[in-house]
Amino acid sequence: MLTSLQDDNYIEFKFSSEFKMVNKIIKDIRNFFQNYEIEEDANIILILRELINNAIEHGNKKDKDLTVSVSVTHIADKRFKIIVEDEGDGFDYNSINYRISDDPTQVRNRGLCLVNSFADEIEFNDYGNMITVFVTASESTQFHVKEMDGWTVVQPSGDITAEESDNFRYVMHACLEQGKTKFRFDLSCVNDVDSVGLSLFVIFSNMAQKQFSNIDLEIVNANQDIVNLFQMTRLNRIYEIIE
Amino acid sequence: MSSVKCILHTSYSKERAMNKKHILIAEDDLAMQTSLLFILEDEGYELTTVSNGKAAFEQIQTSFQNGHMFDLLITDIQMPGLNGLQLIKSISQAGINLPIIVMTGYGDKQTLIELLRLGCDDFLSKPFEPDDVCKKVQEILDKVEAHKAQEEKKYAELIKQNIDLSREIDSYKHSFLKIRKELDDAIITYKDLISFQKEGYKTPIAYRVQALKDLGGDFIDIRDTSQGCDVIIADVAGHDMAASYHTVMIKSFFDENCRTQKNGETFFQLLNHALLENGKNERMVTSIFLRVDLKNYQIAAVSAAHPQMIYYNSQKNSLHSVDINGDCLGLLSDVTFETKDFAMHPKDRLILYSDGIPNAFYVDGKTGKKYSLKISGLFNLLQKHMHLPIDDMIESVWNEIEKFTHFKQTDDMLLFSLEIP
Repeated sequence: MLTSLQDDNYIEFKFSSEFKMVNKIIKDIRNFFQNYEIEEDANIILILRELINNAIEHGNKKDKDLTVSVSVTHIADKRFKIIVEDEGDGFDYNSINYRISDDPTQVRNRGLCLVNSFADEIEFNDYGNMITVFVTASESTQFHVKEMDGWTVVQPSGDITAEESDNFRYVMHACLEQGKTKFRFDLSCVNDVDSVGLSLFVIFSNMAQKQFSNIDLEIVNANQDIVNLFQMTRLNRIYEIIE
Repeated sequence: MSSVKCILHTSYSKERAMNKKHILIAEDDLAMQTSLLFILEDEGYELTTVSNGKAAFEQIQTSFQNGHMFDLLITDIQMPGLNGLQLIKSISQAGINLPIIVMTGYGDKQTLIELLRLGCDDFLSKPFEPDDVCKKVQEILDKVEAHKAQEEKKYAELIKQNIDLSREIDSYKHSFLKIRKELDDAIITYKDLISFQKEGYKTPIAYRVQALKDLGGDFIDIRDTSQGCDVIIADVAGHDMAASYHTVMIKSFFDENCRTQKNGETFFQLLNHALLENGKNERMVTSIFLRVDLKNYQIAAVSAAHPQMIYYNSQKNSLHSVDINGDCLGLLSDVTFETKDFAMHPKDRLILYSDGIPNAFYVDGKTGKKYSLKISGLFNLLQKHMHLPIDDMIESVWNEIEKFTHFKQTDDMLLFSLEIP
């Protein structure tokens, strides 16, 4: 048994507790996500699989006569609300220990620990047979480069962290190879720069100064935390911060 | 059942070994049967004859079951019992694959079409010339042989590909396991290298550390000195093996400095130089070095852009950030540091942490808003638990931080405290 319902920002499935249903539903939800131009997000798919499998196996105890309901609602931007409900006896969600065990062979409870660690927030109903999970689809940062008033303006679309470092390195390398010497980093879309990201700013300035004697480096539209970070690490001696 | 087995030369098993083709002839006309026998035995085939369709089918079934299948069936159409057409249908229904030549007497086109449709390979029109018979039989057998050889070749290629693939997978598996083992060993060695005892120092200490990955960048160490003890906290950017190498280098420099007892500023200058000299890829390191002098109740602290140390004044029961200027390590060649000297009293505490603590956060699912603990949050937690013994204080603060983040770790976290005895 499988019924589904979809409108603008919402998709819902009700189906009998059989594992063979899972792939079909995941496939449909993937298609639903494509409406929001989000990249394939392995973490969200993993959350869905864990929740649906739990509902079939532990919630409904694989009783085909009992149904599982799954719904995904688009909240805003890249954020979604996932609700999974079964017809089982519920469970004591207060007893869950969300600490991920150091022992990799420890599988008990690992599913919900993973869900917790990949989700923004999780909630249960009182009865314990319905879980609500809020998730944000991950986005890799794009580094847009444009020429303006003689400056090469680099605008990252998101945070500059260890995960994005290769991409950043690649873009900056390409700029230097084109012989550019005036760089303005527009950090208006950046909330966080981690220490690896910061190291990249240093590597870049070192590379640039080795190649050209007259290098201009500017940071614009940075939030206060990032400004503090540049001051604390004295990188404001190399990058002029325009506030 | 009338069945004549014509063995012309040698024993059955020898003929099998010589790979003689075995032909079944189904023909009720004895004269025709005999003439076919004469024609084909000269060609060196092994021959079995039956005189009706039923007997033919029984022979075929038996040979199918014992695995010595006939290579060819030559059958008449008009036979008592099961006729040729019915025989062919039965063979096909039984799922038996057998090349068939049909002998037709009347040139019945309609029957012929149906026969070919049923999967019969060729036909002989009676009366036939001996040469025609031999040629047809040879043709069919050659065709079957060629087909079989092709199938075998295809199969052999598949097997070979399969073996190649398995070998490749095995070799990947082998190198993966080897790398995994080496990595595990590296992690164990790394942990051994940077681990230190929790007690037995001149000052009581307590700490909790949690690396985001197996190999982390947060490092804390303490050594007793003649006057008191030296302490270092350091945070290397990144969570990978390279970060661990930097950490080990910092540790060995710290060990060395504990022996030579250079002051903090000199130590950081040397460390910065070493980090720049030894790493092609710059990695930011932040650090605080403390020299605790228990004879004079003095602390000398140097910071390399590390998050501010917190000082707990036990007499006033108050917490203060200690602001120390200094550049971060590992990025720039011209760096400056300052030493902050201050007095402490028995029961006073110092709290050191990595940026993973104030940056610890949770996201409110409904609004998507991110809430960080911040320094102010850490102050509140410390304030709340400072009355506890140092071990319990660190434990309680740590547990509350974990709860605050909903047990989701996003960075290396380190929280350390020492108490003046």
